[in-house]
Amino acid sequence: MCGVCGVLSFTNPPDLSLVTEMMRRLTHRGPDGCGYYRDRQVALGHTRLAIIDQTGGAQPLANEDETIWVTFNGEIFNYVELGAELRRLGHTFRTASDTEVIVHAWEEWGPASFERLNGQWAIAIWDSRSRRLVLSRDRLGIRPLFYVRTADRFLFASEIKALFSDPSVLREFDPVGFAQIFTFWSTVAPRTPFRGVEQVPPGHYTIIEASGIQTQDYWRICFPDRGEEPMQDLDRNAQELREAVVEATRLRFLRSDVPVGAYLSGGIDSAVTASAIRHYTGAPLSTFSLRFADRDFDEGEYQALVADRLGTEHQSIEVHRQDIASVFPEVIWHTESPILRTAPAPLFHLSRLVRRAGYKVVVTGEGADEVLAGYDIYREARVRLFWSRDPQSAIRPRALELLYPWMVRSPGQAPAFARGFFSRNLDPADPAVSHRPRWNATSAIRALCTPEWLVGAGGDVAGELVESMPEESRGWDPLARAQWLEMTTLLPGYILASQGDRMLMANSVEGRFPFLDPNLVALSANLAARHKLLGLEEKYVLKRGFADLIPREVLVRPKQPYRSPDASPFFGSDAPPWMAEALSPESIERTGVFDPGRVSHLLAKGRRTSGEGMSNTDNMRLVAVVSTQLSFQQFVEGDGSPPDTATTVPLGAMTSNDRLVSEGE
Amino acid sequence: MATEPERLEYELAILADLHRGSDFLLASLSAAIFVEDAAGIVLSDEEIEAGRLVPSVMDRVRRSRGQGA
Repeated sequence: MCGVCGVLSFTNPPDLSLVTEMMRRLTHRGPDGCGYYRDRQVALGHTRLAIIDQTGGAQPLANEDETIWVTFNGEIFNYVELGAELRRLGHTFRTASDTEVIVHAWEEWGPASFERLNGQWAIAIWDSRSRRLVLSRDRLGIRPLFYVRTADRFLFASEIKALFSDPSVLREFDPVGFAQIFTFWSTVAPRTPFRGVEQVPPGHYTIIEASGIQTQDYWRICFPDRGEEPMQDLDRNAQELREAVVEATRLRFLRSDVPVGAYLSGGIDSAVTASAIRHYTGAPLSTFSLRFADRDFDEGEYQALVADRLGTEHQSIEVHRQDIASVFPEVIWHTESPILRTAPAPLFHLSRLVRRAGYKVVVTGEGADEVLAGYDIYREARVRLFWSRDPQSAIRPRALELLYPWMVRSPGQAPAFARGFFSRNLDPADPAVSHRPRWNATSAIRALCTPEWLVGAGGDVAGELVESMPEESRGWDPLARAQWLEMTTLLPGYILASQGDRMLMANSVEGRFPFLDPNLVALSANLAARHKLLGLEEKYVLKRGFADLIPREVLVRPKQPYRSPDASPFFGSDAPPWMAEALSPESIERTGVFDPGRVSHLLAKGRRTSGEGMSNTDNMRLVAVVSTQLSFQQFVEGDGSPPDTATTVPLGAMTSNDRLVSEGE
Repeated sequence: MATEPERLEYELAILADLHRGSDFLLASLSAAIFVEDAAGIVLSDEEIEAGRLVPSVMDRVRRSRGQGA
């Protein structure tokens, strides 16, 4: 895992000091070394976290005749097989790295290379033969890749802060990007929170040349038509899924030249991946878990059960409320986006524990909830559709009582409220019927915004997203449509970004995600929808497939989503000192997103209760305001440099391949 | 090779097992959600309240798949 950056110049040769500064802002992604390539038109930068071929894999790296150069963040897990195929086709390799496969694959297959890769990547290829820069991102958006175009150059980087190294790049919030965040929890690619800064959408590549920029997909999320799923036998499906999970996990555990650990959350997914490692590789395993001092959020009991059953070397870190607030400015520097929950902050502490334990790679369970239907939102949609078939039924709405048992005001405890809430926008013909309640609830944040801001935020972002759903999705099972929405918004924009890549890379740790293996994703799409969500039993086929390996207590426990205290860390005696300035009426006014009066009202509520017992909406609003204010301080008023509280990492030893220097310029 | 109604019956039995010991109505609702979604039929309140594996419901599942009662 690494940081990539670069400049394609349309006029003068790229400025080396700019590329060096870009690399300097990505050192947390790659502290083990750095390197650059430069010619008259392009400069490619790289900061390295050395994992495969530690001695020979320095980047940027070229093909045999040095006409194709690559800078790459990620892992290509099938590099051994691809390398063998490319050698048979006559390519000569100089290293044992997965990076080198990319340049030879591009040489051999061009853009068709990407669909052959099994991995997680942000790739930039400079093809000097055609004078094209090519950017590519993995299928589901595990690795980030941003770009911006100025008057005379094109810049790309793993993180936006590196683009802001160029003072000519505009640093301004994008109100439409914010409207997306205040609806979906994240922007939708190619949009970002910053005007003019875009990201390569997952499953796409972008070609930049003098004549313009073109973006093309090489992969799409797709499902068979409802009832046409080819995999209908439950027991066979459970077996085939198990084999696919084991293979995807083995590949991600074994293909590394450094030790690989694993996260254990206390839920099914990480228990499955850790079990697959222990039972199918025979290797010892170190596991890492997050504990909460606040027992409402803690899953330590289940983590211990899994660790004990598997006999892992287990470590955990206990997070207190003040630990969340104390790192929050640094967390926002890494997320580069407003967030609506504090949940990334504890994960920042967890990756630090991993790094301090001497590990730089972990296998994690993210992706299972999207691919195999684990979220409550899928259960909720199924109940609402069930209700919609006979809206006058006296007993159908009672099925709502099966939802969200972990919530303080669960539907079982507040049935009248639940009926009112879940009956809104209940249109079975709506392709986004699954997501309307969440989107509506999240949009309540906008009530805090100034009227001027809302005008700039434009129209109906939810409607635009629904319009962009593929034509063929009309024939899919409603569960598949809900999965598409989840895999297009929350997964790449929040789960894999703010909670995933950014919190791991903040401490120079690489995450590997077996449930996002392309073979496993394709197999899961072909499973009968009812096997993923059996009635209201989430991820049933996965549980059935691994029932003999997972402790029964973990298998049958009600699903508890990963959460952390939201408002309470920011109030009371432990409130962080930066809060007063960041949330002062003057600061709120300067930022221009929120109305100072409405924010004052919200803060007064928080102070009265020390942030305890605030509603779900107010918790979300509070975190949105705090994170927006910090984002403004750091990236609009500031130039993207790290906050004072952040730990900075020096630039590693540099390798260079500078054509301008070698040509004596 | 199991027929579709046989598969659904098998899966419904698994679901009933998962809900063993839980509130009867909620277990019945869960089974009704499964049957309606999988077989594309709509049950009456009476059928839902009657429980999980009432023969008349499975007859309807079979008929919906053109396999007779």
